[in-house]
Amino acid sequence: MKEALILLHFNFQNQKILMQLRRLLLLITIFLTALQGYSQKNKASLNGVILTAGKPEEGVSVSLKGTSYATLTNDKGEYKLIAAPGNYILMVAYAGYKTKETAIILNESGKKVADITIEEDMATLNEVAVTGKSKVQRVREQAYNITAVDLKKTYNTSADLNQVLNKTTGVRIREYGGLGSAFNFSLNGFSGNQVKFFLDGVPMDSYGSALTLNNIPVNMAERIDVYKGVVPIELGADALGGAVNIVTNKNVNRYIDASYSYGSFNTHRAAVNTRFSGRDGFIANINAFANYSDNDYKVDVSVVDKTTSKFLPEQKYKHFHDAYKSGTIMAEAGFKNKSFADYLLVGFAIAGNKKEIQQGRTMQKVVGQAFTDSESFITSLKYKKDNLFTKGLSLNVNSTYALVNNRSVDTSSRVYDWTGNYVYRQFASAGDKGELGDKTIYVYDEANAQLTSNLKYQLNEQHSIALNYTYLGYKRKETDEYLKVVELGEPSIDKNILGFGYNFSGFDNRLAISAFGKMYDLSTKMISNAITQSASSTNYGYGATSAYHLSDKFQVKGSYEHAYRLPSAIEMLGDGLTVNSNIGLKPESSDNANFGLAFLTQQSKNHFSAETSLIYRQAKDFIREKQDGDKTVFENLQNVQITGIDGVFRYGFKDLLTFEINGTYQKSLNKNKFKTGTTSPDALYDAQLPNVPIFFGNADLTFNFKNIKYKDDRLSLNVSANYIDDFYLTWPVLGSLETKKAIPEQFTQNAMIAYSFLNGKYNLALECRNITDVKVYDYFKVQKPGRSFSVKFRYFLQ
Amino acid sequence: MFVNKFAKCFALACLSLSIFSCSSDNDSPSTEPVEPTVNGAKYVASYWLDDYTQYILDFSSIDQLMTGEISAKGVGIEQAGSCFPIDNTFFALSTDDEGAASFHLNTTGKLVQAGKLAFESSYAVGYTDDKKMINIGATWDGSSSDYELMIYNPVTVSIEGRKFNDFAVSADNKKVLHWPTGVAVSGDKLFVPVYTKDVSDGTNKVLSSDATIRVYKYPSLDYVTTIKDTRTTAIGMYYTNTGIVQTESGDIYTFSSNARAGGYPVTAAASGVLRIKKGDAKFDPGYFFNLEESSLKGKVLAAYPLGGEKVFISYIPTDVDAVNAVYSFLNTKTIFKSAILDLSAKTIVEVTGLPDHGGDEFFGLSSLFVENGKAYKSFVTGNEARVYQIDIATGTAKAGALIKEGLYLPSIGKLTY
Repeated sequence: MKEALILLHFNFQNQKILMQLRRLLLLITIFLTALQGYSQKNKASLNGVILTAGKPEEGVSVSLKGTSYATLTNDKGEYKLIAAPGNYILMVAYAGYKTKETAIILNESGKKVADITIEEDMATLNEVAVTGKSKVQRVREQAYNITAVDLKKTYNTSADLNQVLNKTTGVRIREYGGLGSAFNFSLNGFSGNQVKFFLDGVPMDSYGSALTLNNIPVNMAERIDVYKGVVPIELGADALGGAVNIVTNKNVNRYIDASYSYGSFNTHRAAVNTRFSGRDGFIANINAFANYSDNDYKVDVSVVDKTTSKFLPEQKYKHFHDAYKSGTIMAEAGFKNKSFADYLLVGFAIAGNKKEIQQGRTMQKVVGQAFTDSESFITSLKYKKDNLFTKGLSLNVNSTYALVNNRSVDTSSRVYDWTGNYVYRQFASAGDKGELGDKTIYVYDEANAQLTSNLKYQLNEQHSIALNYTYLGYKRKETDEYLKVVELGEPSIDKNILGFGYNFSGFDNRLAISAFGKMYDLSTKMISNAITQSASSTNYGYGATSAYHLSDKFQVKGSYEHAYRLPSAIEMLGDGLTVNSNIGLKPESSDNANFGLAFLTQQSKNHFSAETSLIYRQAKDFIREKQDGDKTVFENLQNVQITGIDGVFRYGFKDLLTFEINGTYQKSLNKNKFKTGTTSPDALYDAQLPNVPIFFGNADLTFNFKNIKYKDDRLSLNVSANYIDDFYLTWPVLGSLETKKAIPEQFTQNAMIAYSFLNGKYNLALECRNITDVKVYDYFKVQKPGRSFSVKFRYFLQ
Repeated sequence: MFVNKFAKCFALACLSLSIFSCSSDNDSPSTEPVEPTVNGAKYVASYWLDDYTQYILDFSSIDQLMTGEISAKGVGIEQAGSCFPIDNTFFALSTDDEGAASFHLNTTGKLVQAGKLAFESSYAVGYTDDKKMINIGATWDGSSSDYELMIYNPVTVSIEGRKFNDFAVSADNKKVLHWPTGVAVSGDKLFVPVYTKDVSDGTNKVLSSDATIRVYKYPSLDYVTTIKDTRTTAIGMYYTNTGIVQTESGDIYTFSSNARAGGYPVTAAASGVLRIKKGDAKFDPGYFFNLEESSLKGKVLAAYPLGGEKVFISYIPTDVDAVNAVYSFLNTKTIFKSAILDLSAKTIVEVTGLPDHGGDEFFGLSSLFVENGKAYKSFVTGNEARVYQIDIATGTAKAGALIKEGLYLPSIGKLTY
């Protein structure tokens, strides 16, 4: 009832804005339709149906080779192209299928092409360069500033999604250590919760720490879409700096993909992904994976002499309390292609993890007993129906309800050193001191309800409108169970986000435009010193994106958004161990502008593509994590400006070779003229923010050899390198750079050799990371693992 | 980068030269300590910023403290901890995981770090006569009454002596404890002024007490006795180390605030100064400098030696103290005044030209620097903070450099090379 009332309230508030938006959109529509009508003179239409295994296939790329005429099939496998009469090669391409080319003559009266059936091509599942435009390429060509990461080429690596994403332009993932360690995902200067994560469009915020990017194996997904800046309203998020959507494999109807890898530091990773599709439309997916590592890698630190208190010279010591284990089972079942639903799926997931803690903020503080663990129980419902009631109207609803139990345990009086020896603490303060702070068994049970619903109406081929409503309800029950159970209260956070969007695509698909408005509503109930404080806020955001093909080789993109982000639970409430709470945290907002240029060409056997983008962000009440003694706390920084440029260059020679190099440069400046709440000048005006990477890049080279010993076998050799320039822990403008606390420059190289045979059924890969065994740091004085080896066996059956 | 490498090469060259010269010295063994030749000097200050970071700055001239602005933009060594100039080093005593660090000027006059050591706890510090420092580690919440006294040697950058001592007021009640507010060493005696607190209900309640000093042997750190004087109240304040001063004569003077501003429950006793004569281990019964009855009509919070028998004091008028918050010495509210005392002659010179200022915060002991009859110290005077130069003879203060990114210079010293 309460939710319904809130919704009603929103509708009322939103009506005014919607009215104005509608008027504006109507004008744009009329204008564009007129233009479109004009440009379509003297053109003929071409239509037909694409089938796979006798059934119509949705989302297949159909194009006239050598021209910019291209489209995708609808859910009935139908496509329609409008082009000048002439002779063409009709090219049909679909990921996982062999590309088909057919010569056609298009005269002025138009042409209906006979049904075309395309055949599956198992070999391409491992391919990088897909002839024509791959799904990944099509995603890249959307109006959004987006990087699509093709995971198919990484299926044989032992990497997790984090390690793969870390090679992407604009993305930098900073890790606190080995497998399962805490990490910070940053995208074009925004980081942490400013970037939102989705699994098939469903927000992952509520999934718990066992279901994060560093736990999920690459084999579970087909690709990852990285939205930089502007995020489509369908995702319904209050992302500020972008979003990451993990898209699972939906093309293959029945398969099993099982893998196991073993590597240095006693690291085991196992994953099974399988799908079953019955004839009657029944469908079942099961994904299960488990990770374990001792993380007993060596670090270079100095220990203290107990008599003289002197720091002794640096030596290598092994991590001795850093093991991590996690496991997840996700099952989903339901129906596909029924009259009442395109799909209706009910899912259940259970996940858990345990992380031993080895150190405090830096390696100088050694921890030997504290740990965290969590368990997540997630239920989900997914529903999609196209042409609901009327043609062109589609409804898509995702909802999840997740219960996550977390514990942070720090009850030891021991003071460890890097040899693994300990003494009992001599001095304590403020209560009984544990290894990281006051002794605690901090238990917090989270209940998350999430609903994302999208209603889309395709007015005609060029115009569509969309409505999104997202609800996120969060409740946390906190207790400290050290010595005696202390109820700390039940804070809650409710978010309602409403979005309205309009999409246009025309000029033979050369132009794509989207415009949208969003409303963000936040209400919180926080508890501080047993006093309940309630707060609420409503904010409005808006934006537009456009992409235009100057020719079939060049595309320009531009986008702008005024975005809001509501603080997350961890930012406001902390985690009881390493992050302190700040319940007064305000929502942050940002004006984001992107400009991008993409180039793609194919000359006989050589493929080239290049993309570059410029970013500009003006953020207010920017939420930043800062050091707070031994812990951290999130704070609002009044004005922050982020500017950046990134670029990627890709080259491929037939199927034999692919090469990619990318780089990102970004500046994050404090634009606060006066100290908060005063009229005295802020001495740090225009200064680069501390602890933010500035320049980084990646290079990747792969060779593929086919039919070496057996027919359809395949050998891949891959080398990759990763570079990041040094940056400073505290404000770089302060102090002499020579002696400042710096996170040093990193340059690491990885290599992999993979062999697949029986058409990709059996795969074996050997991998070495950090070949030269250099000291690597993402955080100040937190050393990451050195050289490591792993071997992965993968079995794939369709 | 090139410049950096060049500088490193240069430093290396100088270092090898100096090693060379040292080895030739060793050829002719001499038991006489050789006075190092002074090539130059620099002023070193720790600078506490609004964002709670601290930088160690160096200045080639004292004029740089008196003109323009003091800023850490592009200069300074980032280093946490309370800083103390000691035996031609600048010691940053930090209890952070990163450790405490000792700095000195190298042969080219560049401020460099010499060594690091770890402290688990530090609540009271003081200098010894033989150019060492005493640190007292303790448990703030009172869960243990065993505090550790240690001797820091700035030459070896290490702890060369340590001993635990039970700070309970009486052995049969471990919930009423002495808490150290500073340390002073005169000859073979180590004095630890304390206040009394009750930790039984976890609130760390400060109790009113007489002027109290725990006396130890130096350098053995063995406990000797506890001395008390009823003429005034507890000496010093929490964490400031500014309640006990040894003057040039070797006499020890102690300063009791009996002030709300110092965090105490005020009693009928007067705020004032007591003396322990050189070589004694008892308060001088013939000496009490009553400041509330003096022309200052105030309560002394902190004292800094100025050379001779003089000290610079920060005080609060008794009537102002009564209406202001407890622990005001931690605030920037401008309710404090300054004066110069001649302790032996019991004369007072009020400081003029220095506006009423904020408290000294936890930045005591080494925050005042004396050279050529002038004292230098930073003061918060409203929205801004500046260095002031005070003429010791006349008490006339002159405003100096503006402190840009923060409000405090917690420590100022001078090093030579």
